[in-house]
Amino acid sequence: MPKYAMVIDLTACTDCRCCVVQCKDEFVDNDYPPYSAAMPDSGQKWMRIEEVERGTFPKVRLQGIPILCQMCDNAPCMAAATGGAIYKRPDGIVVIDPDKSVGQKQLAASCPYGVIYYNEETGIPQKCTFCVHRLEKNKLPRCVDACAYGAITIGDYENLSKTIEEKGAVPLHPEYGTQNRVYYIGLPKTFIAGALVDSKTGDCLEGAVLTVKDLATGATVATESDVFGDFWLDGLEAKKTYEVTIRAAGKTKTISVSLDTDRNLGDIQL
Amino acid sequence: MLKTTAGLVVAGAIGVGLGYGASELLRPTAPPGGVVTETVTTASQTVATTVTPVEEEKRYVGMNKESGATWMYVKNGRVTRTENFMGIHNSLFHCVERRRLYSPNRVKYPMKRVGWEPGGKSSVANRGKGEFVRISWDEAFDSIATELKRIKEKYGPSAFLFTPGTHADSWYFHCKYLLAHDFFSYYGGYTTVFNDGYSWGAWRTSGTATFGFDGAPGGGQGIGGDVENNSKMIVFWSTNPMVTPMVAMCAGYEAGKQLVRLKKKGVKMVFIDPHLSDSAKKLADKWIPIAPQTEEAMALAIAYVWITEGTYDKWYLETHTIGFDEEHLPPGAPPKASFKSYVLGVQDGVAKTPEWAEPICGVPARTIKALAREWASKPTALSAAWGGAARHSNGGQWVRLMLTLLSMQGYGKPGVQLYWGTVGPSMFHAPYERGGYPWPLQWGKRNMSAVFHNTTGLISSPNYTFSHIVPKEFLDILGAKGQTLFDVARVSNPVTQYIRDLWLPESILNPPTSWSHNQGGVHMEFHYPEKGYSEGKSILLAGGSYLTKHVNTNKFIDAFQSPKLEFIWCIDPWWESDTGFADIVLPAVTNLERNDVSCIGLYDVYSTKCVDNLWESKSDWDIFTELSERLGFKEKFTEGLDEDGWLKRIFDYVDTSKYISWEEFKSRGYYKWEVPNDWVPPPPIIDSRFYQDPDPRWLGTESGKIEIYCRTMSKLYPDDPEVPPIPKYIVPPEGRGSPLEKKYPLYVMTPHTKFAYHASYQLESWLRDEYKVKVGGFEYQPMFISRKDADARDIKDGDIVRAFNDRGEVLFGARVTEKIMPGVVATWYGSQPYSPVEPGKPYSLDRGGLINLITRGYLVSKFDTQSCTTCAAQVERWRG
Repeated sequence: MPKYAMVIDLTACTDCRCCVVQCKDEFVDNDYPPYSAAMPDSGQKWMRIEEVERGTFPKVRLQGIPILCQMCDNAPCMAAATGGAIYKRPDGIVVIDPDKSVGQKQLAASCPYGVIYYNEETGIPQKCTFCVHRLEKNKLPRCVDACAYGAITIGDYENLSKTIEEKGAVPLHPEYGTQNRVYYIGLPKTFIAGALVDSKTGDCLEGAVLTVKDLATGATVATESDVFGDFWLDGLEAKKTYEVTIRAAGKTKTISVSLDTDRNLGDIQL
Repeated sequence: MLKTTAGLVVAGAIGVGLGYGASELLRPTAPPGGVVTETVTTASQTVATTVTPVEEEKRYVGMNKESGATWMYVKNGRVTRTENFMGIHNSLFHCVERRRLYSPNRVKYPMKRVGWEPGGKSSVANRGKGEFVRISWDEAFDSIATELKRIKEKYGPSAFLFTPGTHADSWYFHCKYLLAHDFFSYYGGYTTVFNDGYSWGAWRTSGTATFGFDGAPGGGQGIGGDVENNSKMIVFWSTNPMVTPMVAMCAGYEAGKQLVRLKKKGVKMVFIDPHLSDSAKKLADKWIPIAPQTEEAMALAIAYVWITEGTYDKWYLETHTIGFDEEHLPPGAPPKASFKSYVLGVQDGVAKTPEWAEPICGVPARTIKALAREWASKPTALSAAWGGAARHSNGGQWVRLMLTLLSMQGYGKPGVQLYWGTVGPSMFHAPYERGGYPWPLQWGKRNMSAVFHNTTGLISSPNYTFSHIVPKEFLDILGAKGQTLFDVARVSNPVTQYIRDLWLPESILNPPTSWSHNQGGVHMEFHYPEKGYSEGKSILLAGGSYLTKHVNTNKFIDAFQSPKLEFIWCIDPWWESDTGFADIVLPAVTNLERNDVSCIGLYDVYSTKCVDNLWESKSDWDIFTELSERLGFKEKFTEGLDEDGWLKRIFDYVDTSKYISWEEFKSRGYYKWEVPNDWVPPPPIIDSRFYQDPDPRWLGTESGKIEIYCRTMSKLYPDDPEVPPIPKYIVPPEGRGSPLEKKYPLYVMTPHTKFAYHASYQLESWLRDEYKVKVGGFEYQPMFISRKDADARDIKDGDIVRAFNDRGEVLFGARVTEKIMPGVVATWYGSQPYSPVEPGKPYSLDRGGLINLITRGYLVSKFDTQSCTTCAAQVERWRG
């Protein structure tokens, strides 16, 4: 018996939405008893993509994040359910029983990831099942099958744990403490970006060395400006103070940045 | 080698007007009682899959016209879901096939507009108001037959207008273009309302005039291989190659996958685009935002840097081009007329420096210099296709400048390429690494794609031969000698009167009209009505939401409501934006309710009807057959064959029939061609062969060279300020730098969306849920506006906003974002449904987000470049 886990590689995801729509194609109007009742035509997305926009023009980064049931081992929805409406299978999949859950509207609000949808028409709280009806037939879940870029992988945790470790895959919002079975590679963090200008020539300043120092820990990360003078110091933490030091042609400039969110420092003359 | 009689080769690309499809195939998942083991492979994992047959579930090959084949599952007479066909990933459009089949927007029964009766006397006042009554098929057929007879007797057959719409459908047999063409042609003919030029914009005209192609060398033909092996950087200029090939070229995810591969390999990617597109957000090492319609200024500044720093290929310009400098101007050109003289300011006193360009285009001078230097320092491909800036008012200048910049870096040297992204596998393309043009055709075998080219080739603009998709000369090069793609044309249209659809409103409302048409360096003058022909009195709308695809749409509404159009009929599976303007609406079946043949990549497919016709819908074939019977030419129209007979005839025409029997093909649903072991993918059209030896026969321009100084233009259009002999920056008629800028300070970009295929699929909730802005129960089309522009207008994300100019007013849902350049707003064109606040009234405020109500319909001078994206407007928070 495998213990399922899923790894979603955001560096591969292009935000094409095919997983979202193939999920609808699988579930709208189709019951898969005893795991799921049909998804309504509109209003529910058992797989959805949230597009995160970071930074300010023109230093902007966009990332789609596919979000589905995280199949938590410590699932808040299970705690909120009554009468055995939600159960966890030995393979790790959390299932809302379409019969036993009728009327349990509270389940939608119980999920911190917002992946449970209450069907007002049928009274059933509904969500992703990892396509357990397909897994049972040795078929990949629709979203996994849908992805042309191979961004979504499902498998036994034992087989995926190496990837998870090597690629630094992490759960979405680990602070919820829900012990998720879905892991993400490349979740957006926080960046400081800007553009360096050679004050003498007015040209883009290439090859300047930028060092960013976490003032709390003293840890540093370094990068260089590119041919456009641009620099991106990504992977930083919000709510921290950093010191950015720029060195080029014997000149040094230091900027202190109290980082609330992604920061575009704009054009910097040096 | 590639000359035509006109002196220029019309080679290349696929324009608007093509789409494709097929249907589906009856095929059980496994023999009764059997078990089929398949291997399902994704990029990350391989799972051996055992499919246990479910007794009542059947699997069919379904052909989606945009994206190729898919498996369709059918259970208890209902389509239940789709699945990737042979490991080729389904597009978004495949995924909503089922939703489209059962769509609440289906036309269910024959309908008649309230107040309409045959005879040409009925009021047309409520066209577009949506008041219809259900009628019987008998009444519908009788009414249509009566009208067609009356109109033909009174005015002659040229009074029939037919427009195939754009991308409505083009199947192999159930091709509405083809069927309507045959129908009308056998009945005496029709006036063709043709679309030509939106898609490729200025590539078709200016590209052809400059180097003999309309952009074709940028696709297929091994281009991807050259870029993948040799390019160190790609400049994506006004193009969104991860999305547009998918929705416009039936190319699936191939383009995106190749680009991801290149990116991983370390190829630098620069995107020049007013907004951070889906491709740029994934791929860009550098995003350079630029104001629309000012790209020419930036291109000139890049040329300036190269000229002044000496970082360009002088030998190439001297041997492969004309007009770059004074020494290489064609005879008769005045002094100081060269490109170099213009760039350096010798011609007009203004040097086209990066500092000159900065205030015009909004790109910092230092960024232009940095890009120019980087570009010149390494083999760089230029991706500048899929419409984009080629659709602007000065798109011709942009196209010519793109070719000039490429030439300055030695276009054809390894890695220095014009590059679309890539193509395939689709019905008319093999995957890029396999060349590009239809696979079996490349080794001399005629697969179903030959039929596709046939069918679409029949409906054509005046000299728009679809041979330019797969020119016979190319087939010769490819080794497919002797292929004749066009020998199944049944009948030609006896009427030689045309209306360019940009001119349709004027032609209906205020004839006579005239316009010019330029293709392949041939200039033609058109008049409407032509001598001896009638004005159009009736139009057949063939689906695909013709109305919402055109520019300055209010004028089309005016025309559709004109009593001059005595009879409008529409055949469509869905109620689309133009359906309500018809007098009679006939319910057509979808692709899932009829049989057809098609192909994708190496697979020829037979698609079988998945379900019985829903409601009272009929196939186009049945509709035209019935009408031809009532009009007395059924035998001619059908040639005594039914649907199956015709499909068999097509099958017998292609070489596929030599390898599989008709019965087996139908029952299995597909035939897979094998790639011969000795087959070598064809090289790019313009590659090192051309670089090393600029054989003048290669390009097919008049001079045999890349004409930076364009002799065609200087001869045909002397003194036309919009068509200068060398490419220039010209102040656009509206938008940044124009006199209108003060009144309408925002430029409206109208790019493709990944969620629709032009106007098609815009009605489907599964996709609408992904992008519509829902306010008060209404779904507004998103308009992306920069935070700066939004703040200045007190607009918050999710607000309803009104975009307006002198052409009309439209409501949108605001999406406030940092991903777009201030001064520019963006919304996807083709939004449906058209939702006027006052139905039936032209110039009514529209809630449906139909941006084309306010885009500018524009033909650049007599040179005939069709501009469809020029649009400046003001935007305000809607308080209505």
